[in-house]
Amino acid sequence: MMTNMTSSGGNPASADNFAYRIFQWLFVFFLIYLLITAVGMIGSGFKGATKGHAAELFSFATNPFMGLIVGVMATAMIQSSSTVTSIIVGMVAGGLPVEMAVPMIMGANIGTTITNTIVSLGHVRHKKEFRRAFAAATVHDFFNLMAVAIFLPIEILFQPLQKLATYLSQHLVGGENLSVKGLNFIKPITKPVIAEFQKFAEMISVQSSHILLVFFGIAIIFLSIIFIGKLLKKLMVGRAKKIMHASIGRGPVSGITSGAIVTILVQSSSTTTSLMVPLAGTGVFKLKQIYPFTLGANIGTTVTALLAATAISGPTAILALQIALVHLIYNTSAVAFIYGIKTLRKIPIRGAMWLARLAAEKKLYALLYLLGIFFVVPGVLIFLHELFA
Amino acid sequence: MTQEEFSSLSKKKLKKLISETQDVLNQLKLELKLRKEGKQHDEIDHLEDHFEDASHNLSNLKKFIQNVISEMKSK
Repeated sequence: MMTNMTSSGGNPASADNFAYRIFQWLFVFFLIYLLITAVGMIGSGFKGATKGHAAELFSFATNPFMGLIVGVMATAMIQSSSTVTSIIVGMVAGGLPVEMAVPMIMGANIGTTITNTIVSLGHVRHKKEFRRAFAAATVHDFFNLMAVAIFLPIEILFQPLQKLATYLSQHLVGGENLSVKGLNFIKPITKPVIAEFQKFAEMISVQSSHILLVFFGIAIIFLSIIFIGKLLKKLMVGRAKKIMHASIGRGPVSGITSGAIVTILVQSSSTTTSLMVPLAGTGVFKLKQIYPFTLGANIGTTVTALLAATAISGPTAILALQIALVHLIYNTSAVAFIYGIKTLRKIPIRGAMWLARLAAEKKLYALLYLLGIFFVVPGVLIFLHELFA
Repeated sequence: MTQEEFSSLSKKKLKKLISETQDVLNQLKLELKLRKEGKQHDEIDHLEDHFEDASHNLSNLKKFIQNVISEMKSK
């Protein structure tokens, strides 16, 4: 009888486990709903707060390098590029010009690399292990810095990313009602919640209600992305294992693809790239194998901004989708261009190995690098800009 | 075998030896590759632990700063 029950899946423990997993999945969907609603809140709040003058409010970011620095610092501080890109999508929907948002998106790519660099610091007690772990973390930094160095000047001069994103978004967004094709159901389900938060904000302060709505949106995005990440890590670990097992010994394209898929599954590029650090630290995976997987994470993370763009309907839907597509096109082109050209491909590896050797000899260099690249250099540049502007 | 012994071998025999050595070399390379990949599969089997390791950001930073300070003091 007992054997029968077990073999037929009637085990009460496994039934509880199944029910618990269902509950976890339902919670993930609820959190995604909250994320989308929060992006709508930011769009609505930002529009109300700036009253169509968002460009003036962000006038400091008319200089693209300032936009880039804002993206780097904001992401480095909250350690989540998904959060920052979702907020940017909301702000674009609220009136922030796309051309100002593009460098911010690029900056978010750099800022997010701080997480795996911090993870690599945990290997500090063993010199060799630390050198390998630090190189695995900073190869992502070097790649993203190189991508910005190549693509930002081109974008400033010719706007190819924006033009392509505009072309694609026009085909994806309905011409008549200007809402994302097939996703018109989003607004009816998010609008009531946004309205409730708007009322709540007005109860606190009528004058600052729009700004409060933006803050509520940011807080909800931040928290929902944290919890989505935590839950998906548990729910998707099995699938992630299968994908990673399948990619072993199959070359760089498979590495990039599996990095992208694992990132989509766990909805966090920081998680994926951080995961690579201990694997490299043990020496079992070589830097050459880690590198494509890390690049895949850059592509996979763009799904969050696309998801956030579905929150926006109406005339600004096309703009929200445009910035989300800029993120996708930028990261995909950067991987294709830099990794596709042999001489360029090697630069991040060489840079990371050089820096890791230095850091392993003198740990202070690693600390100086971390503070310098993510906080001191951007901070000094902002200060100089303000001083001379 | 020495160089002198090789020179006494016929061309056909030499070709056969090269081919056999090449086969052994390929088998050894394959064995090495399989062992490496086996270790990688083992590491991936512990993915949960690596996820856990990757989530201790602040304690990593603290540990690292302590290490930097002690390194500076010792010099």
